[in-house]
Amino acid sequence: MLLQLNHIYKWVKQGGKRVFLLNDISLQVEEGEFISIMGPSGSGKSTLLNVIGMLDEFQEGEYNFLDESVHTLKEKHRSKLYKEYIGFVFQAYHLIDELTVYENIETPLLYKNVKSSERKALVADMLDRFNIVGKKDLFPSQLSGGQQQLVGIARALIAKPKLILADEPTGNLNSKQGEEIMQLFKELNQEGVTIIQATHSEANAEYGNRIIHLLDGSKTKA
Amino acid sequence: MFRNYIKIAWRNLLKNSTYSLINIIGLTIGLAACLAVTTVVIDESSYDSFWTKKDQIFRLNTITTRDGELLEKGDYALSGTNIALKDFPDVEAITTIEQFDTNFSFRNIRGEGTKTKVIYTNPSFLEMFDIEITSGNPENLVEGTLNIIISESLVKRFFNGRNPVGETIKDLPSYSNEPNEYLITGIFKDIPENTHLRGQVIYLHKPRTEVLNKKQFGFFQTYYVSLKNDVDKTTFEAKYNNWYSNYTEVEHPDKFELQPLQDIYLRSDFAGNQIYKGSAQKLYILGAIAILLLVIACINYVNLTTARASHKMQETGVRKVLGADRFQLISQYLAESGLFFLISGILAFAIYQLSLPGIVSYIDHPLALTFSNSALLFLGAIASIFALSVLTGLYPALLISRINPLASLRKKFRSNATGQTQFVRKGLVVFQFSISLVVLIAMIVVNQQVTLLKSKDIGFDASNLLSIKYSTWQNKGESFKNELLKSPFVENASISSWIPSGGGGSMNRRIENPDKTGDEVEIWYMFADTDLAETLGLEIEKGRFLSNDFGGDALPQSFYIEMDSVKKAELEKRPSLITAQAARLLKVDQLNVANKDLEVTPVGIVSNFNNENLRTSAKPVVIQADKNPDRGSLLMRIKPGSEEKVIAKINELWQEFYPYKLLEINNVSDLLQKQYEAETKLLQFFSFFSALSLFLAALGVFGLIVQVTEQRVKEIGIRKVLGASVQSIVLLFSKDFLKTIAVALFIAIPIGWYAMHEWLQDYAHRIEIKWWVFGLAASVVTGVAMLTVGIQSAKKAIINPAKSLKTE
Repeated sequence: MLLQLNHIYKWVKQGGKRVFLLNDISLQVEEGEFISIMGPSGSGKSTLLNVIGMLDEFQEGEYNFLDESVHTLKEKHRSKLYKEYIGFVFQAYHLIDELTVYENIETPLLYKNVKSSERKALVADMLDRFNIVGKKDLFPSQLSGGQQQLVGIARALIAKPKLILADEPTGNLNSKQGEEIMQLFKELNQEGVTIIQATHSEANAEYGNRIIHLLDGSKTKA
Repeated sequence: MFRNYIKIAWRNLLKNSTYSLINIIGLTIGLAACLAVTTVVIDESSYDSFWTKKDQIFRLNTITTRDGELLEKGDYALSGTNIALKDFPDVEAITTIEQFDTNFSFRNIRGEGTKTKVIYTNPSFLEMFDIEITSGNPENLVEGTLNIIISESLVKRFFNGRNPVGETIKDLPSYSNEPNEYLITGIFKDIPENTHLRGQVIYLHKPRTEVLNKKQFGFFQTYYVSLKNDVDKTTFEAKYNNWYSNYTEVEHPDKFELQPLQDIYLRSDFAGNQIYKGSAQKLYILGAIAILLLVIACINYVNLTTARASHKMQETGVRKVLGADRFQLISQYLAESGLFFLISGILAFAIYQLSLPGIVSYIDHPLALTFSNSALLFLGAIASIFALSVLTGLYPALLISRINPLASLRKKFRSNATGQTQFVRKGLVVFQFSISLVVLIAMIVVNQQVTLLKSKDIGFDASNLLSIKYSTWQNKGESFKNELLKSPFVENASISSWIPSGGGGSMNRRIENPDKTGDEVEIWYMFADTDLAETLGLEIEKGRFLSNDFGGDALPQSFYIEMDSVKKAELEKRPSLITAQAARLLKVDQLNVANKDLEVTPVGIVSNFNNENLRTSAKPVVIQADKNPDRGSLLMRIKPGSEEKVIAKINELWQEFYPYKLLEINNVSDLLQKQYEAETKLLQFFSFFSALSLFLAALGVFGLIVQVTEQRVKEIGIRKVLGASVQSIVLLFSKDFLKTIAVALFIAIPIGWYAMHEWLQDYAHRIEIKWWVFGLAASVVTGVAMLTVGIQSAKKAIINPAKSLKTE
């Protein structure tokens, strides 16, 4: 088992009243799964992903990730954990504009203090694999959206995470580009990477082997 | 990792070129100005620190007090003090030192002279100050001739590698008529420039041998004393003062203080004989301004960087998600500020190097220590700039790295991050403007005061007045003058022991103020031939001028030597001119009657004139006539526009009368202006720095308004769609800055007023600080800021809203 959420509650106070962002969410994810989270805007998809990604806190419940109780961990320990095991892919790609493709992909390795020679080898492999060797010296603004997302995924994979969290990864892409990205996720999943994606699109959700529906922060039956 | 930081920093710098340029210009100016000023401060504070025995050597200063009140302090002591001091076992050595310039003819060509700095001292000076003699045995004086030793650089310059020891050279006298001959008895290694004892020639003579006068009377000399290693200065001072008060027979014995060698250069405002001196107070002002400029420049950096924080937030968020910890992010931003400081530092050093000659000419003496000739100082500067870059970069770095990655990715940062930073930023802008305002106020006030000093009516017309420097006339003064008067361009001439700018007069006396018992007034006496008052152009208000036509008007200069009671009675009958001020003060209403207070007989009352300078008020003056005076300056009143002709005439006559002597002619108005050189320099300094600080502050405002309008470009678009005019939008942005300036005014005006009020207290004739000074300073600063804000916001306001709304 990769991770487990038990009765997670997250709320914000609005006018003295609690508004639930996540309402009693329990979820168990095994290694090698490909999970799609679906739901309308504001249903809590991103919040759930962020909680799983340890970027966001929650008020009640338990979260275990690889035998560690995330809810009891200190910030520093938590960031070490996600640095090690989790890669993020964003709808808006969030590439760093000032860095080239090569450097964007390399950045997570820098923060993990990987040696220079090893970094080179790893990034070269990744460029090769995604067929973007020719674009390694370009800046994000010189790439199409699909290519940017490709770089985003390459960057998420470079540190060899066990889990990829993708928040609407195809949201800014046209359908053909989106399909290619989803195809890529499928391949990655077949290679053993666990993937959780949030999506609006029924078609994209079908790529996963499990779909979770959210509405107003609660899980609903499909 | 580090290389990566620098690389990113470099790209950021290129990408945001406006922002980078503002930062680099600002920092470069701040650093360069700071380097320039610091180099002066460091050099001035390094004075006399190189002497081996610097902690043992002191100058003996005499303090005259009356009933506990300080009357006078001087850098001298009575001759004979050296003999007295010799009996104290605490004293290791004593020497007298006098400094002057002499024109030596090193090449022995008649009429040719090189102005050379001379230290006139005893042979004990050489050991005391550890002067390195590279040739000769100068400590053994050669009898029957004048002994000098000369510096290595003079040898190099004038003797073509030949050893001149044993040779004789002449001088070009400015005082006596015949040149003196000097025997070169040695060569010494050049003394560094950072000493108040500057000398290219050391002129050695035997110490005087008279015994200290018990009546506290005699001839003054400047003494330097070195104490034995284990002797405490304060203990010895007490011991000597105690001994002296028993020794002397006068009612009010002088006190003595030992001034440490290293204090002499900067802390000797009282020292009349000291030629080379600085001012600690001036150094504090300089230092403070250097720091302020640097602070303004750094504030610009902090402000611009935090203003840009919103641009950085997203990138920072991504980096955090990718696993960057806070330390790594802080390092990255510090690398960025480091890069800015590195570039600006290099540029600043280049500017500094280029401006060194200008600095040297401004301070009017060479710099012994600079950032480019001392490795230690250079490294110190580098280290300081580095430290500064960390200090300056830290606040923005902490601020940016603090953000929550989720919030930044969702662009929620604006609402939560800006409240506090805006406050800090506005505070910093207020601070900048306050500094600019204070410096500007200072500049305006100094300017007014300098104008007053230079233009105030001083009671006589200083233009068309020439002078020949104080000299001896070899009994030919009268005929020289008469020859000169034959020129149609010379209207009047007088040989006088006092000329304008030469102090208050020839002699002064304190007498009781008849209007106020217990109060003393200072009366100045001037001795000249009979023509001084007319040459100066004073008006006669009552009575007559002095004249040789009246037999008893002029007395021989030797009259004062060996005064006895007969002569003293004679003195009171001496016909004199007094100024209207003296007449009023002493209630002189009848002329030709001996005045007991003045010890003269007034025969004429002349109009008042300022006898010293405008720092002090005009004092009552008595003018008396010497018969055919042999010592003095020659003062000439010439026809307007005839200066060149008169100077040619003087040169011609001089050749004939005094062929061996140096001639120095001055314009009296130049001499008077020169008295205010310090104020003029201060004015230059303030003008320069007020311009710089204003420019830096404007640069800062420019950077901020660029950022603010960029951030609010959507808001501008919406407002325009809703019908806002360009003016209303400009006004919207200007209002914020106006408020900031208003706060700065509240801070700056009291500080500026107080500081300048204090400064003006040094002048007897001073301007009043009027309200418009503050108004002017405020309008200049407001104008500069509003212009900057207005142009930039108008630029954004005329953008078609369809465009600005689309790009968002």
